[in-house]
Amino acid sequence: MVKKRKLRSLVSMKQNCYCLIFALTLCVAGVSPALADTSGAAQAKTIEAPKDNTADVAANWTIDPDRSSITFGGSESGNKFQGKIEKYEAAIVFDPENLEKTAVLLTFDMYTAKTGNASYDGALRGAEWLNIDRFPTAQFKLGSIVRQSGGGQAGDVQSADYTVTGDFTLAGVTKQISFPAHISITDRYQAEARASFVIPRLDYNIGRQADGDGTIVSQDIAVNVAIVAH
Amino acid sequence: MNDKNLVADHGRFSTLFPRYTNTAIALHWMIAISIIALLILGLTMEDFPKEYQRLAYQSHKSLGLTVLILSIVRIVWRLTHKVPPYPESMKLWEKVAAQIVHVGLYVLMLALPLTGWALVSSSPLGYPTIWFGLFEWPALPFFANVEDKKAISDTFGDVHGALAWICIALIVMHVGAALKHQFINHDGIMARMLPWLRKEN
Repeated sequence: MVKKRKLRSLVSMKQNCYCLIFALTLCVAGVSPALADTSGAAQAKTIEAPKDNTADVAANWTIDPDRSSITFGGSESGNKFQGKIEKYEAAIVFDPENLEKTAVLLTFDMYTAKTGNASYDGALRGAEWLNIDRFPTAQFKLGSIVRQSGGGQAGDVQSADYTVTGDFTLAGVTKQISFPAHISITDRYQAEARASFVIPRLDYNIGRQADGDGTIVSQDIAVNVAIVAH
Repeated sequence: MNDKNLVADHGRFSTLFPRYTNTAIALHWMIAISIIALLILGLTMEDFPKEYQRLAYQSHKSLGLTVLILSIVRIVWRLTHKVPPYPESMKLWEKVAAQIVHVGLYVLMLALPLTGWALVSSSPLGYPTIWFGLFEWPALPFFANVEDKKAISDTFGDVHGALAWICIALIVMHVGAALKHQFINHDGIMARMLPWLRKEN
């Protein structure tokens, strides 16, 4: 199951960005302009409890595993394969108005990386490929996130394209990767993030001895991330 | 020689030369058909269209390991049963040659699947064998932590291939001799192993 981990940085962020987050939550929630015209301080006082609650929701996210998927695919001997990582843990702090405070740590349980093809799955676990007995987890640790476009709101949706950079550890090898992601916050309780990028398996020495030139298994492994978080 | 004569011949000789048991006949032909299929598949599967190669390899591995099991059963049968003797009409060198070919075939029935199993087990590709898609056949354990898997696997591959050609040569001799006995010597030896004459026994 996805575990929710509160990061310590959240506390200071909450304090620093008190007004900003509050304003955001008002906007995202579609609060009427008349209400928004009211003095911020006065408003904050009157709805003290909900403010704390919504600030937490906007910053510290929990993935909905039933509506999220992390898949990978490639080709083997001319046949396409598609796999899924069933289990992963995520600690996500994200606020589109405070990108520098963003913190993402995804830890993937590689034993749950499966294609559904017994032959592929057996090979995948083996020493020459993902070497899962030795490296049971893969990890993505966010370094930076930069907004590329968007950021405005259309109705209740706040949506933008970002460039995400971070350290990805797979099969014992850590590489910095960078990829585009689209994140939309559909209301103050739900965010959707999508990213598609390619992992060159040989960067991580995956299958180097068995198939170092991609004759059998494609060198590029496509990764699709679709996350719904609350 | 037509079918009538074949049956007549068999009838005439069956008292002199007892037939192989139904178990032995069944094992012989299951293994024979499997080996011929394995040789054809083994010699062609590398040239299959890429998208069919995985299936071809899995089928070859599944059938080969089946032959290994059947051959063990067959060798146990062979060691625990008295087989029909060679006819008196056979010359000594013919008996010796037949015996050498038979022993050679028994050795290959074990050596071919074992070298194949070893080459798969040491292959750096690491594809498991899923026996006819049903369950995972384990890899031989000795090769899990070998340093240079590719060199070892390729060596087993070379041996496996060489044994296959020896097997083809022995099959040609075996089948050639059986046909010679049937159609030139008319000594009824081949009928002892033919399943469709079982009821006349």
